[in-house]
Amino acid sequence: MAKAKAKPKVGIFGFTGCAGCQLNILNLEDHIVDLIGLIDITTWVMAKAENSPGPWDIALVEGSIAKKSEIERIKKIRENSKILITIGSCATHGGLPAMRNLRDTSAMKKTVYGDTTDHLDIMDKIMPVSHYVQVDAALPGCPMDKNEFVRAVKALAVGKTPQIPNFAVCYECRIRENACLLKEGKFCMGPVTQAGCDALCPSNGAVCEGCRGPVAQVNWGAEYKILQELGATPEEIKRRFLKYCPSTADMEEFQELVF
Amino acid sequence: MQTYTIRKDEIPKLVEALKEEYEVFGPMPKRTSYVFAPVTDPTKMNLDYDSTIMSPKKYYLPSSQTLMEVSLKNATIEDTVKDILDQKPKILFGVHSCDINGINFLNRVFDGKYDDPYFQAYKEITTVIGLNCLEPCKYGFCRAVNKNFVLDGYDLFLTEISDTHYYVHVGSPRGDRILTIAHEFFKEAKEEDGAAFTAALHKKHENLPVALHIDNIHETLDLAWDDAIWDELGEKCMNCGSCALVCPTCYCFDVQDEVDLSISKAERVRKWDTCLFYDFALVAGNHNFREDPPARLKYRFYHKFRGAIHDQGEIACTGCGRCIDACPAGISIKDVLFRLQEYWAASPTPQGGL
Ligand code: SF4
Ligand code: SF4
Ligand code: SF4
Ligand code: SF4
Repeated sequence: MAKAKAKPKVGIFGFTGCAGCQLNILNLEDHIVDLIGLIDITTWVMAKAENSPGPWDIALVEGSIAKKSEIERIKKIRENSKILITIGSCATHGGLPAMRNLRDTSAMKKTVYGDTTDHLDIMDKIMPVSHYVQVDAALPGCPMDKNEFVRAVKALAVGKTPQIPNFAVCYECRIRENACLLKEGKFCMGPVTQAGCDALCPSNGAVCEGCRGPVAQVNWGAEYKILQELGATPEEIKRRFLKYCPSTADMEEFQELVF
Repeated sequence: MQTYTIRKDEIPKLVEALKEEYEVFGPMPKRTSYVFAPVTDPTKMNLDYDSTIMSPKKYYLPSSQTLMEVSLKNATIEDTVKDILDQKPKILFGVHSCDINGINFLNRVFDGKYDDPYFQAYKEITTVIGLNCLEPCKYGFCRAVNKNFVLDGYDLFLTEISDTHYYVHVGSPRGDRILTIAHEFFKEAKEEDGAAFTAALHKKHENLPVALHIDNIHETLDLAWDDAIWDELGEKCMNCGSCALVCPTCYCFDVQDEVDLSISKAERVRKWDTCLFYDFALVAGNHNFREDPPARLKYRFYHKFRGAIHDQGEIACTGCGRCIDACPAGISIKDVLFRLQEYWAASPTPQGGL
């Protein structure tokens, strides 16, 4: 057997989001001890008193980029990390915070802060991390899936690229032998959503809301037609498509859709 | 061949009796449908079921299966075949003809063309109690593909001959074993039972529709390579894979190595894969033989109704209709075949007598 290599240095960082993904790492009771045996978490402001300024072998980034100051911060982290992985829908696709992109920010600022809004470091559009820096792998989901996270860390620790499912939630849904909710007339987004959550929602009788973002080579048009035939209005369909992943609005395939 | 009858209302008791020696699986209700599942409560098993979400394929080729375990510490490798053989023997209760034919098809692949010890081990421990369909199910078209009857692949086979009784054929020594351990439930068939069985077959032939004909299907597919239907289907299909996953004859899998968190153990796991997925035909150098999603759906048709004839000697479809039920886009393999055959291979009209 090869000699044990030094454990990879890992930094965990939070940007704009609810911190639920970081919390999910803390909640990995069954695995946390083994994980610590595999990696050396040198930076994690949410959980540690003393934190290294870098560099890191692996950066795990949660949250979307909503402020100008965050752009500088994410660029610095990228420069100081060999591998950068986004965790959660916010970092990967913009997530729920980026729903703001669909509304008028100046009016919102005014409602909340009145006339003096100059001190606010808020950009008009909230973007996923990949908009500003290169991302090596993404673990989407709202929140990210704990098991997928553990699998990814294992892969990284032995120097492999994490395997991210390139197929839709329906795969996992079928394997769990759920009766299809779309067939029951419910607005399920499983066919256009990347698998990896073990079809969590449909397995509990709720439709997939698409929190993990679009599957590779997504066929929006087909899902659009199905939902429309089930009685959804174009406005409703658009809202569903963009809810967790407002950044999809920039996808070429998405812009071909007529709402 | 000796035949028997069994009272329908004795089936739950029979299942209970068999449970001592076997783990029994059968059609159990789930939401709006049925699934093959452990028969925990035999009174819940419904032999009048229409179809199940997944076929019994899962008992021969599980959706995820550890093939071997590697200990990095001790530098040992152990395969799991003997773990399968050590399992309690299984009974699959109430398997329709289409699905027995599905298992027979898998047999051509995993105990014919390829030598798969895992599949063969599952076969070894599994007893099949078949069930004749006298009425059509909602989506099936078994008769159109000659899969509405079975010649082999069952251990016992039940046919409903009245509101109260099934007629029982014995297909193998494994079937005999059931008669031995649960003899009190089986009565030797009398002449009038035989007559009732013949009447049941008549009823079956009246009831099961011939939804389409598949003569020359492989030539049809040769002719239809550029047919506009493939673009039409490509637009609708989301490559979700449901059709292949529920199919009793789709046998593709991926093999992955998974390391334990302690980095001292690893497993080689095989998981169902489908030709509908991007990664399926992705090879070294990032080349993909079927880059376009529509090409992958088309491929599924060509494999089932053309390639399989070369490879396994018959089409890879039992007409079970599950893919039609499962497709969120409403794509029906039956309708597609019907349209192709209508256009490219109109059925010959029988000419005169002999
Ligand atoms: S319920 Fe949703 S995820 Fe499951 S098979 Fe149907 S469409 Fe796919
Ligand atoms: S089923 Fe859909 S909404 Fe639910 S966790 Fe999975 S991807 Fe997210
Ligand atoms: S192709 Fe469809 S109808 Fe044919 S065996 Fe498979 S699931 Fe059944
Ligand atoms: S089930 Fe329907 S939508 Fe899904 S891959 Fe098959 S044909 Fe396409």
